[in-house]
Amino acid sequence: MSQIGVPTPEQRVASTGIGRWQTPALVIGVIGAVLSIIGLVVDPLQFSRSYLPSYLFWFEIAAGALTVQMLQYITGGEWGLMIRRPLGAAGRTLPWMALLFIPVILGMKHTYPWTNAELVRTNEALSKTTHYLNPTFFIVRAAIYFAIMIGLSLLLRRYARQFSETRSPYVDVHRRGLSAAGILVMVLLLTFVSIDWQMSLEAGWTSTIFGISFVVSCGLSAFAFVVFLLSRLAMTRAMAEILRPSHLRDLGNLTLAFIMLWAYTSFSQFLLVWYANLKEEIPYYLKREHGVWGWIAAILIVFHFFLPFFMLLMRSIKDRASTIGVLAMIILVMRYVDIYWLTAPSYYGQTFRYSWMDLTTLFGIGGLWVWLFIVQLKGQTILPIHETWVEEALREGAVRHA
Amino acid sequence: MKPRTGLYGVLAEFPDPQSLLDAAERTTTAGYTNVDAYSPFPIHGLAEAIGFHRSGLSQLVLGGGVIGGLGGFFMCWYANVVSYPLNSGGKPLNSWPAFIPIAFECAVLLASFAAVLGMLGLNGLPMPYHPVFNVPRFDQASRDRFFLSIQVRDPKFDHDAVRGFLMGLNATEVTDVDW
Repeated sequence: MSQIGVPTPEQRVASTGIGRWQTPALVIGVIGAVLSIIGLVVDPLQFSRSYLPSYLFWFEIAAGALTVQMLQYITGGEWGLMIRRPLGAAGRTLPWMALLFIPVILGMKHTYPWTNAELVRTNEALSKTTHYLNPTFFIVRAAIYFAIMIGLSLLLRRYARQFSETRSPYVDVHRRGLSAAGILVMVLLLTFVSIDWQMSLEAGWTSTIFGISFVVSCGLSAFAFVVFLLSRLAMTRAMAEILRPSHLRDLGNLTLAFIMLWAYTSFSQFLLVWYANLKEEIPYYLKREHGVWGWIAAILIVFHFFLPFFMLLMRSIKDRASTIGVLAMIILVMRYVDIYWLTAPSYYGQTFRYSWMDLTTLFGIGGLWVWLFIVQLKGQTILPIHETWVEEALREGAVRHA
Repeated sequence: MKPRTGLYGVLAEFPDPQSLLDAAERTTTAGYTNVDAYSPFPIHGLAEAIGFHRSGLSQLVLGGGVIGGLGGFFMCWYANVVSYPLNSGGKPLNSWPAFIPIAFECAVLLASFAAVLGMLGLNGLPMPYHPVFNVPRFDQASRDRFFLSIQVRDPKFDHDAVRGFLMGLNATEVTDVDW
């Protein structure tokens, strides 16, 4: 305890070893990308239809991470310090997510019904929305969304740097101000994203709760991802001395809240559509209740809600990295299933289809994304050690293990 | 109920939170189990020091939630299917999706009741009378003094030994408490 507030040299170099996942991720990403490009050449229609749900899955994690990062700047709390660096790194993958959005734009005519001039002419609802749903404005809006998100993540990065250098409370105040405004912006922005990228897949179908449902899904994806990551890091020397059961419990409770919100918004949408039973709205669910889609819906109810809900009520599961890690993985898988269930029936109708390109795009984007994420995360401490509380924890840990 | 008489326990007074915490830890280490501590404000770690264990409250709340959920659902089902079947919008009488919000609200309601009432019940509240009130100095417990009691019902209780033991914990004063 010679230097108060400064971690011992040993702790400074204690590595999470996350770097060793970098090469495998890149290899998976490249293989997936190459196979997907072959798929694109062979069957561009199928490629575009497979690419969209895969892209949305990884986009949700990145955009959700940016939002949750701002949330924890406002609320404070030790749980936030535990996941701040991974959240920041995930948020900074958004510039590359903008690049990866280009295939969605190029494949627009295969996925979005409003790009089909013939359909727009005959469909009354679609013909009235052309001033908003047209290819040019779609691209312009996507550019605006990415500009705002990238801007927010860069600003947060700048404040983090400034704070670690100056430790000025004013920087912290500014950062919180930005975060407060940023959360509002993100909720609105992701609402528009959900309408543009996911809801408009269904010709003429609208739901006012769709936006918030998407925002909640983003938050849930981000939480599940960082909890899974933290559960892997829990055994490493950099983390083992600091991560306490109470941190995992807090994160588990927040994940539980998001699970419940997801169930609440998803069920509310279903209930209102089912109850009103209007011919403009009900086909959306009739398709998704049919055959295999119906089984997937049942799987979602059990594994996206009931299982995580009851598991996350139990401290014996929340407090242990090994158990909550498994649960976070289940939630992540279910996030993809949910996205596929919301997206794919819009173009396949009642017939269930799952192409090999769905897998190659999922792992292609995923491998590249994880690689980019590790690139962003590497080279810094896994915890923001300039924060007061972390210094204390490190010091206590240093004393205990002296 | 016949009022109980005789000795309730022995109460020791401490000047600051740390000495109460130390005394509590040494008391439970010495094997006493029917121990209680009194402080004007919450002291971190004190509950664990007097051997506090997790209560059955969470199970109570779960039970309340399950009963509420099933009860709410049954109420809707009974009203719509058995008691007053009414065709609304051509939907089946057992339109279960419409029952879910009610079932959910009832689950929340009964879980909350179970939480509040269970908390009061498990704490033995309301408790208008407690023997420690017989000690005149005990009103200091809501100001700036800290107390620890060992009760007669403790299997290890022996009056002289307990008095001596508490004296040995640097208590400023040790008093017998009558029922």
